[in-house]
Amino acid sequence: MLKYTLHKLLVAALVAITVSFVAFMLLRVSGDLATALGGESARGEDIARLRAQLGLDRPILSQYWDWATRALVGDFGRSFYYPEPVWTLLRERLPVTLTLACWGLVISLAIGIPLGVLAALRPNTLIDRVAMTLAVLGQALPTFWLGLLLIILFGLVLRWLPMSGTDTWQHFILPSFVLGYYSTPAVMRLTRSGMLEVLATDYIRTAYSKGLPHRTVLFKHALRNAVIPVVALASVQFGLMLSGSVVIETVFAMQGIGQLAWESISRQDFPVVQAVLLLVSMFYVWLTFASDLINAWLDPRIRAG
Amino acid sequence: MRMTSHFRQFLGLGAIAALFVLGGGYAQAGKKNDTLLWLTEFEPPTYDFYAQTNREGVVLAKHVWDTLIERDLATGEFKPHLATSVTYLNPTTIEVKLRPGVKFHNGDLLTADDVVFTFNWQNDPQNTKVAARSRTDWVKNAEKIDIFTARLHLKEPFAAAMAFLESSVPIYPAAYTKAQGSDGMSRAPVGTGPYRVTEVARGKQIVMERFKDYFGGVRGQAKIGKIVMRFVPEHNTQIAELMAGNADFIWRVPKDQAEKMKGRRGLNVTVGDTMRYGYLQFDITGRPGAAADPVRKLEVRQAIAHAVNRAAIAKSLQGGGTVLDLTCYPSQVGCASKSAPKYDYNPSKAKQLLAKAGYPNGFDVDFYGYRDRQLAEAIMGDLAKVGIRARLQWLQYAPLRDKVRKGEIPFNFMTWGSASISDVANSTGYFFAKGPDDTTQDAKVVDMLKKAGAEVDVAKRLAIYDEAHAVIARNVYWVPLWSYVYFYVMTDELRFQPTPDEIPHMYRASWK
Repeated sequence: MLKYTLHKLLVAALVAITVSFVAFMLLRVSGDLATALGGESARGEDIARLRAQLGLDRPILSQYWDWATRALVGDFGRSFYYPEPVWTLLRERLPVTLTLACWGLVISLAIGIPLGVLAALRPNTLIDRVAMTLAVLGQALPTFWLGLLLIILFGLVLRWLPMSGTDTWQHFILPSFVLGYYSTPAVMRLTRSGMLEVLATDYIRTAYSKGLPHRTVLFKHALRNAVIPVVALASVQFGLMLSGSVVIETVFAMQGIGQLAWESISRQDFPVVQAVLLLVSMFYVWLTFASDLINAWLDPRIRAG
Repeated sequence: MRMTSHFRQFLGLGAIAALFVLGGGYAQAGKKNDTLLWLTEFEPPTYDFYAQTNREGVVLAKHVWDTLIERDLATGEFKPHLATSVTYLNPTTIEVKLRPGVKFHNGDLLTADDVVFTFNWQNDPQNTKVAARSRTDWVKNAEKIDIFTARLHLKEPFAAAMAFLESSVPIYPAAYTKAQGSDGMSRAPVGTGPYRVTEVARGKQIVMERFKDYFGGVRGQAKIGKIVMRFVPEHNTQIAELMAGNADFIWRVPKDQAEKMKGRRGLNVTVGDTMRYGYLQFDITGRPGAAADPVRKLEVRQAIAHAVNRAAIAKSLQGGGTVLDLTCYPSQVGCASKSAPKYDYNPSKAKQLLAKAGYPNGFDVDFYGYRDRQLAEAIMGDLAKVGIRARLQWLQYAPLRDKVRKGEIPFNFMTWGSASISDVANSTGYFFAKGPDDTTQDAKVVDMLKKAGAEVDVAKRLAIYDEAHAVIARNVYWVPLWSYVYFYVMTDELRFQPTPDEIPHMYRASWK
C-alpha cells in the first residue's frame, strides 16, 4: 500500500507541475501582457514602465522559475489589476465557491441517487426513461440559460428568491441548484448501473430467499454496495463544480473564484489566472489521489496492480 | 460549459423573451427612498482614481472628486470649477487661483497644498501605484504661491492642458492621502465632490450620499440623495433585477435587449452618443509586414471610403451614432476642418477608383479586428460589393495593437475612446504624431500636430488642426466610421440625460 501511495503521490506532483508549466507558457504566448494591462489609453512609455515593473522583460523560463518557487510557499505574487496580493483575492473569494460547490454536490447526489435507484428498480420502463430524461436534461441545458430562467421564475415572477449576490443563504439556492443539476446525469447513471449489477448478484437473491423485507435488501444490501463508485465519482464531481462555477457565478453576480477567473482571463491578469488554475488543478489532483487511495483500500486487486 | 458570445447572447435573448411572456410587476422603490440603485458590470480594481483606468473608476471620480476646471456640458466651454481662474502666465506656466471655502468630505479645507500635492505625488517616481502617468506627467512640477494660489510648471507647451485638467486630474486632499496612501484612499475615498462615499463593500457595491457642504460650482448640487452602485456582471441578470424593481438604472445594455424593453411599463430606454468611435486604419509606411499591400495606393483607400455605407451600418446594427468625417469626435476641441474632403457612400465610384488603381477585379486582403464582429462583417459585406475580398482575422486587443505597432497589419478595424479627453490632442494629435500607433508617419502632418500641440493661442491652434485634418482626409490615412452609442435603461421616475463622454453624470439626474 505504501508503494502504491508513493507512486500515486509522484503522479499527482507531476500533474500539478505540468499544469502550472503549460498554463504559464500558454498564458504568456497570447500577446504582450503590458499592452493588455495598460489598456487602450496607456501610451508607449506607460507600457514600457509596466513591462519593467512587472518583470515581463526577463526570459520566460526565469519568470516561471521565480513564480513556481514562490508559489510553493503560498506566494502567488500580486495581481496585475487589483492592488492586493493574489492569495488575498483567492482567500476572499474561495468561501463563496466552496459553499456553492458543496451545495451543488449535495443537490447533485440528492437528485441523482434516488433517480438512479428508481430507474434501476424499473429498468427499461417509462419510469426509467423519465428518470433518465430528467437527469440528462440537467447536462443538456446550458447552465447560463437555466440560471436565467430560474432567476425569472423565482426572482421576478414569484419573488421567492433573490436573483444576484451572496448576502444570505437564500442567495445560494438557485445557483447551487443549477450547478448540482448539471452534474446529476453522471451520478444517476452510475447509481443505476451499479444498482442493476448488484441486484443481479447471488447475495441479493440469497437475501430475498432468507425472507428479508424488500426495503432492507434494497437499502442495506444493494444500495450500500452500489454507491461505492458514486462516492469516488463525487470527489471528481466536486472538482468539476469548483472549476465549473465560472458561468454560474457570473450570471448570479457571486464573487467567487469562478468569476474572478473569468474577469482575470478577460483582463489578462495572469498571476490570478495562474493561481486559480493551479488551485483548481490541485483540488482535482488531491481529490483524485484520495479517491485512488480509497479505492485501493477497498479493493486489494487495485493496489496489487 | 463554455459558450460563444453569440450563443450566449442568443440564449440570453431567449430568456429575456420568456421574461416578457411571463411578465412580472415592477416596483418603483428608488424615488420613494431617494436612492438610485445603479447596476454596472465591473468593479474598479481600486477606488483610488489614479491607481486604475477602469471606466467605472472614471465615472465614480466625477462624483467623488472635483477638477480645477469643468466643461459646461451644454456649451462645451471650459469653466473654472475648483478654481476661480486658470491662466497661462507664459506657454509653460499655468497659474491656478482656488475658490476659497471648498471643503473635502472629511472637513479639510481645499488649499493650494492639495493642488501641489496631487500633481507632485502622481509624478513622483516612488509612487508605483500610478496607473496612467500620462494624466499628469505633462506637468514638470507644481508650486504653492499662497494659500489659494498654485502654479503648474509644464515640461513644454501643452495645448491640451485645459482638457486634461478638466478630465484627468481630480484634486486629492493632501493631508488625508499622505496619511492613508493609495490603499487607504481606496478603502475610504475622500474628495470634494457632490457625493461622499459612505460604504465600500468590495465585490458587492459602493454607496454614496449627497455631500451637504458641496460648493456647487459648475456641476451644481446633486439632486438625488443616495446612489448605490452594485456590481452585476451579466446584462440579463441586470435586466431581471431592473424589472423586479431591485434596480433603477443600467447602462451599456446590448441593443437587442434594450429595444425589447422599449415601451415596457415603468421603464425608459435612452440612447446616447459616446466619444468612442470606430475607424479603418491603414499601414502605409511600407514597413516589412505591410510593404506590398494594395492599401498603400491612395485610390484604393479612397475606394474603401466610398464603399462602406457607414450611415446604414451605424443605424441598423448599432441603433444610432454619428457618422464621422474626421479622425476625432466632433465635440473634441480642434475637431473641425473646412477644407477636408468628405467621402459619401458611392459603390460605383469605388469600383472606378479600384480600376484606376489597377484592380478592376478587386483584390484579396487580410482585415483585422478585435471587437464588434458584426460591424466588421457588415464592412466586409460592403467591401465585397465593390470587389474587395476581405479575409477577417480576429485577435484580442493586445496582440492586435502589438501587430499594428510593429507594422505587420495593413488594414484593420479599431475603436478609440480618447480616454474621455475632449481635445483632439488625444485623438488625431496622438495617432498621427509619429508615436508607436502612427501607421502613416507623414512628416508634414507630424510637424503640424507638433506645432498645434505647443500652440496656446486657441485660434492659431484650431487653424493648424483644420489643415492637418484636411491633409489626413485627402490622403485617406483613416476611414473614420461612426461614433458608438450606449443604451441606458432606467425607471421612468428618473430624469437622466446621457452625455458623449461615456460618463453618466448622476449629480445632474433627478427624480421626476
